[in-house]
Amino acid sequence: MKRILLTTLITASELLAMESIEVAKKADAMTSGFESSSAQMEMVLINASGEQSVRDLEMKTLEGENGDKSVSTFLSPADVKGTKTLTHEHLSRDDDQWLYLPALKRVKRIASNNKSGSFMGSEFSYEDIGNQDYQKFTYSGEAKEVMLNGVACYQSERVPNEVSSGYTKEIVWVDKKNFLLQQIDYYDRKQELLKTAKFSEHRQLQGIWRVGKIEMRNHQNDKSTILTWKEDKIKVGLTPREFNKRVLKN
Amino acid sequence: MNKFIAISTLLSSILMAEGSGYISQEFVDTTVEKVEGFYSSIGKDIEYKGNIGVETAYLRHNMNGKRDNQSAIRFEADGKYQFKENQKFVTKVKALYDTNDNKRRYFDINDLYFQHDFEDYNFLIGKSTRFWGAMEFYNQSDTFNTKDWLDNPFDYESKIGAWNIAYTRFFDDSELSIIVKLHEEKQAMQERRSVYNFLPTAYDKKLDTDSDNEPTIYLKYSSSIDKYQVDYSLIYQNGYDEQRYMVQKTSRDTNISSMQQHAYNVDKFIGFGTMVRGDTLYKTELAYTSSHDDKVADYAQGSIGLEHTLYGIWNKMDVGLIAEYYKYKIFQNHRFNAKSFGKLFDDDLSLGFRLSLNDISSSEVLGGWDIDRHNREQLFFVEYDTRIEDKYKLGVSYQHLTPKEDSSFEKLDSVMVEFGYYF
Repeated sequence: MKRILLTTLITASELLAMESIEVAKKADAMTSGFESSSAQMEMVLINASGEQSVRDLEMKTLEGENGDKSVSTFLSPADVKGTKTLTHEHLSRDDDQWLYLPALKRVKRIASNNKSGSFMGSEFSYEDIGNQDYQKFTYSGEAKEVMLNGVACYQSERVPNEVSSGYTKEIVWVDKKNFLLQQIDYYDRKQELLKTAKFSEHRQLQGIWRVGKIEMRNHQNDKSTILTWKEDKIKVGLTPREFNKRVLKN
Repeated sequence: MNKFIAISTLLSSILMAEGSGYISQEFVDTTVEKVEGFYSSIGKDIEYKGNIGVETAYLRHNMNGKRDNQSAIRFEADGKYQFKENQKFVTKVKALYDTNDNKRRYFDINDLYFQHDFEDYNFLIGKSTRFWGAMEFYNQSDTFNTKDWLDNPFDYESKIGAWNIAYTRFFDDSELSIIVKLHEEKQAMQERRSVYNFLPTAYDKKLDTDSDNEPTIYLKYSSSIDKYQVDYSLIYQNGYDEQRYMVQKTSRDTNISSMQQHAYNVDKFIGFGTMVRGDTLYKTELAYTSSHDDKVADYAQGSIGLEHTLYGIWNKMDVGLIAEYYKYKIFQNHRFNAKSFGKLFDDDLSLGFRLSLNDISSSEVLGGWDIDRHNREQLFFVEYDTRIEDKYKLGVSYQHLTPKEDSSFEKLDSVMVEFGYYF
């Protein structure tokens, strides 16, 4: 009888435990399906002594099976107003990326192999801002069940597939209840903790979950950046035509 | 115009109602609401930005009779009025007021055009500036606009707008443009006491041309090969060349001689492109010009270069390393060559760097060293830019020019400080 009970308990425990990859797939599914989006964002850069600088930007995104396409337009500070970046992400090769400098009317292709470069001087890198598709990472083992700031979470470890990534591993916390991303710890090439991103103000738009705020803290330089979505619309009917190089000069 | 009609109508309505004694609070509220609604609808469609600032330069040289300083107030503003979803007016103005040089007291409209975008094509008419090229320090392909010599003559990005009509047809990964430049712009020069006036005699900005200022036609095709991360453009130009030679002219009235620019006709074929491999951007520009003028040799220009970026070298800083080589080759030795046109980049190697500090002020340092392999002419520069309190920018630059061996001066050093308010 004891043996049967023990076997039942082990089986139940196995059924409850989730593979990290399964958690990642479910988390991905919660935010997929937005088709296209248009967002007004505010980025507050805070240096080690607490000084702040604000950047406003507009970001349009088109969801794609092999990677998203996006156009970011800087609205402030005034000296960079109108500067645009166009990104065509690819799951199997380096992204295509162009920069438009309005003062010179110049469109310049930029090397996007190294994803760890700072995005507009913030603590976000280009790979943090880009698509977080689960297929871009390798997961191993089962997700741990842990508490994070009073929220029951699945904790798993993932390794970026791209050799050009600035990270060697990432620890990810996902809410057990709704599979929404709560936190990511990023480890640098020396395997040391570099940054922590905290995701909050999640909201549901037309059945799709969207994040409203990300606080990124760099543990090595004490700087941080807060990215807030001031306005966010999804399924706005954007087409591939609106992510052509032509849009940069408009 | 609509704005004035609407305001006039509303004001007339108020005055008429007031005069007749029938004005009511409801009427006033409705009117205010209409005015506010009108302004907010217009406001949504207008985008503008600009800056106003001061610049001052100290110059060290051994040129007789030339000033050793130059200071000016600068104002630049861009405006875009998107009055329908696919129609817009664009304008860009520049004003400069130099404290000493009265030639550098001017107001220019560099962009003033109307653009109508259709699904697969667009149409532009008016005055505009364009950028063509791939290199960082100098662009042999950038032939559309005349350079503004009243500004810093070493700043190749300072241009004079050109009146043109353009039609562009868009395809999936490419575009084809037909551009007709209607008029050749004159090139004014700083006054004689400026170190940037290199002419030994008086200069008259009047433009002398082969024919009576005929239009110049450009046919431009641009495309991308995404698989190899390549972007390229091909241009055919028929009309006036971007470079001009000097001719001596004597005024009939005053009998005084002066130098004037002469614009001549050419057929030009241009190609430029970039390719990304890893963290490196490779670039090239090529051009062949067949001159219609007996004094000017047919010539070819070519440049190759690369920019390799090292990310996060220290505390998030990125550094881009730049190397470029430029060549200008003529095909008839007895005719005018690059030196006749004052071209600096005829057999030159340029090395440079761009250091992005990635701090909250977006501070950046750009440095470069250009060496003429033939006559050992050298240009060294370093520039620092930073933002202060989100609205202000400070720029400090140093430039050192070692002229060719037979030059009339030994060296030219300049230190410039620029401070501007951006809105």
